Amino acid sequence: MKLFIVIGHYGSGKSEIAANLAIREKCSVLVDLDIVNPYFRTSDVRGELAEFGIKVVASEYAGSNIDIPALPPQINAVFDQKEDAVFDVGGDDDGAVVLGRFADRFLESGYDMLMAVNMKRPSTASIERIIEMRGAIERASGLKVTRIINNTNLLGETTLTDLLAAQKMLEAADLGEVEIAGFSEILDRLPRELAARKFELKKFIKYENGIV
Amino acid sequence: MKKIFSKPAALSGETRHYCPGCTHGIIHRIIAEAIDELGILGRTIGIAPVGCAVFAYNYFECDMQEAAHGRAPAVATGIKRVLPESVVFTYQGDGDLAAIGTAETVHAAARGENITVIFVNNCIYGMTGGQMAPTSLIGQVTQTTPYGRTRENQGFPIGICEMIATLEGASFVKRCAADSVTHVKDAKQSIKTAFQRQIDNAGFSIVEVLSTCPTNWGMTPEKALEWLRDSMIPRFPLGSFKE
Amino acid sequence: MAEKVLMKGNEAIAYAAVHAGCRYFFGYPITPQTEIAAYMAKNLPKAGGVFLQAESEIAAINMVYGAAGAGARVMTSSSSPGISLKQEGISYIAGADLPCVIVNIMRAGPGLGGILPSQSDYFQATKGGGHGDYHMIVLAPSTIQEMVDITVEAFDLADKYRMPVMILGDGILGQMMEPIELNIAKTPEIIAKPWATTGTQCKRKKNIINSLNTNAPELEQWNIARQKRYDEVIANEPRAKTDIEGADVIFSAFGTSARICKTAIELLAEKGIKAGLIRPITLFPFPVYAYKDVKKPIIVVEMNHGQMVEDVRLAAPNVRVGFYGRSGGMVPIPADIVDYTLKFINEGLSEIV
Repeated sequence: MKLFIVIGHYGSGKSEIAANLAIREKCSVLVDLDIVNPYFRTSDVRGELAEFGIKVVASEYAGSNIDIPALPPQINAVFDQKEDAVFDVGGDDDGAVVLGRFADRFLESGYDMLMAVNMKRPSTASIERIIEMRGAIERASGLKVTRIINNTNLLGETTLTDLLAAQKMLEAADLGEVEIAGFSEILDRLPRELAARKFELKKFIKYENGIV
Repeated sequence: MKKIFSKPAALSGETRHYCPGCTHGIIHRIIAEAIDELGILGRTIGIAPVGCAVFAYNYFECDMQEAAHGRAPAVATGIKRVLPESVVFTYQGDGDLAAIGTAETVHAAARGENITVIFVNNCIYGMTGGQMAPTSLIGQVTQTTPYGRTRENQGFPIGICEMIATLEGASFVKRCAADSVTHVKDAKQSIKTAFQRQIDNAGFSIVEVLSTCPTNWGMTPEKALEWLRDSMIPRFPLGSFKE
Repeated sequence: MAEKVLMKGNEAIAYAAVHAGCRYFFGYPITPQTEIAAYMAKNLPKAGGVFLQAESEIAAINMVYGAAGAGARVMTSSSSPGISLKQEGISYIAGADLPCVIVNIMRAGPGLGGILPSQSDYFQATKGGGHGDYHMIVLAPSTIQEMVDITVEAFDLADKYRMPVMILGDGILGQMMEPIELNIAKTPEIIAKPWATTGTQCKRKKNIINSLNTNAPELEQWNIARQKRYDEVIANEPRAKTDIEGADVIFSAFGTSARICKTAIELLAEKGIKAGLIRPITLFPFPVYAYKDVKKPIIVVEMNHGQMVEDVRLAAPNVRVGFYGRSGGMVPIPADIVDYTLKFINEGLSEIV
């Protein structure tokens, strides 16, 4: 049984990372624990993930026309049946509060908690702010961050320079292992010495069709 | 000749529109005297209600805002948050404060909003011509309770001071009356204390003043004062609910 | 190159408001505008300001009234049902000639409707909403960068014309992310407000903030004076982004719908049809000028059942005007817009009605 938790500032690309992580780690379940964000969530890509044999467990109302963040009872089954799973959590400490509800089960089973970081987001634009955010999330969840995923991007305006600058800062800070994430068009140009830490993402979460 | 009686500086020279025998005029005056005596005219901002006292903005010499019906405590909150050094008071009747504006009143008190509310309770809607108020007494005949207010149909009057006194944010809650010299003097002292609490940043203060409405009660001013004493005070006992 | 950061629409509005000198925010929670209040709750105290969660939308807009009357730059934000609750206060704010900024991140209606995006409050925003003869300036951004720029401008316009300004976005704009320039270019234009109730300090005559006047001829004069200000707004402030050169057919849409139209325009180009776009940025004043020389048929695209169509028809009385829209939280799909356009064209591309 492997349990991964993806947390971070809202807009740091958690859902994208969670979906890709579930594929990379060959998990059978992706749990959408986002009780904060009304749109653009992992539960929107149920169909695509089914092709990889990944089941999405989400609030019955996720992505619907109402904001009832009721958690589905199937979450307990993930722990009971010892499934390999990724938990996609809502942004900031506000979103991480929900983890406290399951903290005992994570502590009992063991977990890997990945913090997605986009240094182009103002609230995580410096190491100081990232540490502040990490602390707030750890306090809210009762769990500890084990790894950082550097997902520094400006969507279509992302540059390798920005990504590498962020990587350098994150590695220099004492934050633990730092993976470097992005789409292939950027990561294909990654220097060789970073290859081992490369986490290539496939695009799942899309805005509504046709919004340019 | 020595001048022994004059208009308080906080009261404008405008002729007030209230019916003869109405106690609004007395309450205006004691507020103005309290402002003068505390020396706070230049930093006081008042909020007028909707109701008979709607023109209160013309009667005080301080800056004034006129609020929508029942919203004076919310308007006062907005002003006080921008100007924390000012002294902000609302002047509201029973319909404004205890019916349409109940939520604003209760939540301003619960927040401990540093404002002073002057609540004029005469158990009736004066402005619209004598309808039932949230404070109308059981049995009271009004235009909309032609057979008298009943517990079965309209239910019971609200005791605002009793309710507000339960809230932690309220620092000073007192019910006074405008029916006698003694009571008016006590009301003035209470308003002064309420302003002083605000100046000391102690939190929400409210002074309820039982008042008369001879016109809509259909009574002579003297009889109205008697009715205040005989019918209102037993249901709305005077005194301090929180100091 | 200016440094860029990635921001959500809601966050960008709040960020820009603080830059514009807004230090007071009064609101009540509702999806999908949540991040605006969350940002203000976190950042206004640090900036020496006040964030207050009110007991209701009604209380929130009246707190805005008080703060605006006291001379502050103040804002509230909500989404459709909450904006309905604010209408009384907005009417009073307009009636007392107070400047403030109101953000509506629209969701589906009517009634409780749903939390998904919509543009169905166009009438409410542009034609009144509350009682009485009044207007708000209504600004409709369509990118996150534009949300930033428009927010700063909204405060300036509110102060300049002493009237409420509404930023009309939809759930998608509120929730989506785009890069924006970290440094906001526009410097806020802070002007004196001698009319504000800040306390007389016993040095001036008292100020009164009020919308009541018992003297009918006088109240009419107040209204006329306000309408004259609206005439100035209509003369000076209409704005639209127009790209119609050589077009056979012209889309007109605001906000998110305009972005969807751009995709439809690309799809039509593949079919050899050149389509243009008129995107109103100010919805009040409606940018009539942008339609003046239009000789080709117009298709209005909205996330509602055709509320802007009336204004487009008035602005372009001599051309055929069609409409394509979705509602209830449904978003127009470019391919469907193309299908509609082809049918519309087949019914005749006559230039004049």
